[in-house]
Amino acid sequence: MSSTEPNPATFTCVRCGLAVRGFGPDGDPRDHCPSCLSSRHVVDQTGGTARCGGRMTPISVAVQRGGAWLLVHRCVLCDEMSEGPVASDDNHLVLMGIAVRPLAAPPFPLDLLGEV
Amino acid sequence: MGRRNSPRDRRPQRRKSVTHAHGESGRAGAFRCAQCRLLVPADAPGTAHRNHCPHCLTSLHVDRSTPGDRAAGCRGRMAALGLTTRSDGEWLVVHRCVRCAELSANRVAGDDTPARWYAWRCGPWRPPPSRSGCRSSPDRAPVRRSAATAGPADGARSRRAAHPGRVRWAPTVPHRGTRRPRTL
Ligand SMILES: [Zn+2]
Ligand SMILES: [Zn+2]
Ligand SMILES: [Zn+2]
Ligand SMILES: [Zn+2]
Repeated sequence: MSSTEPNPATFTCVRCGLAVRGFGPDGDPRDHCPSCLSSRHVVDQTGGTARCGGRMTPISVAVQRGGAWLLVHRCVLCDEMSEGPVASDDNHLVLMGIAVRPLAAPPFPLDLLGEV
Repeated sequence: MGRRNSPRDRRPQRRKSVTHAHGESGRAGAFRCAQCRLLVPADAPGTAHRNHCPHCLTSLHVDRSTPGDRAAGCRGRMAALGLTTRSDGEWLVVHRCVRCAELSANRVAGDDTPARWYAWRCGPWRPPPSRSGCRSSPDRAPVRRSAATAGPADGARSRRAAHPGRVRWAPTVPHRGTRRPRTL
């Protein structure tokens, strides 16, 4: 955590309005709302401050080799993407919804999986 | 038949509408995958810009913002990170550059290996985190064929039953490219 970066004790989610504590249950700083998993575009890809400020929608859940989950966000204003860790109190239903959404409309017949 | 159908006479033609002139573009626009070394033809069913290997889904960091713009100077390998869908239901592969950690999302092509896509989606099919903390677990094994052939829910259950000890859920593993967390 950089000392120059303000990390308020609580923030208000730009999407659902939830008042969220700045740190998760494990003591890690949060970068997204634990309820709707939305974020805000205030840090750019290189780690500097982003002027955009747009809302960032969670678009994908990725599993790291060690088993840790990552949440990928995309800014609705400028389309920039970012990733961040999943906190243990993040909404499981929303997470699962993001994870399985591609399976709801697979671009190939699912029987194909048996042939590969 | 005979000569006319010999492989030598059926060299795929470069598509005239696509004007890639980047370095790795070789004969007929084919490129060599940076990860698995597969020679990938440029023509891809379902997309105008084939930018990742259909076998391992690895890409190369050459585009900046628009697919095909070739504006990025990084040229790092971009490993597939996950999947997402657009609002119209189209699938996108999320890539992350192993050199500069930039992310991008690209349409899947019609001949991308389906099992690879599915393997990623199988990844999250694991028990939700317990608030009491994470139990340790060995590294993830590759998705087995039996899990991949079953339906999504069945696969999840069988994986779960077969590996009851593998209940790792964690935001804790640091990885290359972690940036400072955003504050809201
Ligand atoms: Zn929220
Ligand atoms: Zn933005
Ligand atoms: Zn490859
Ligand atoms: Zn790069």
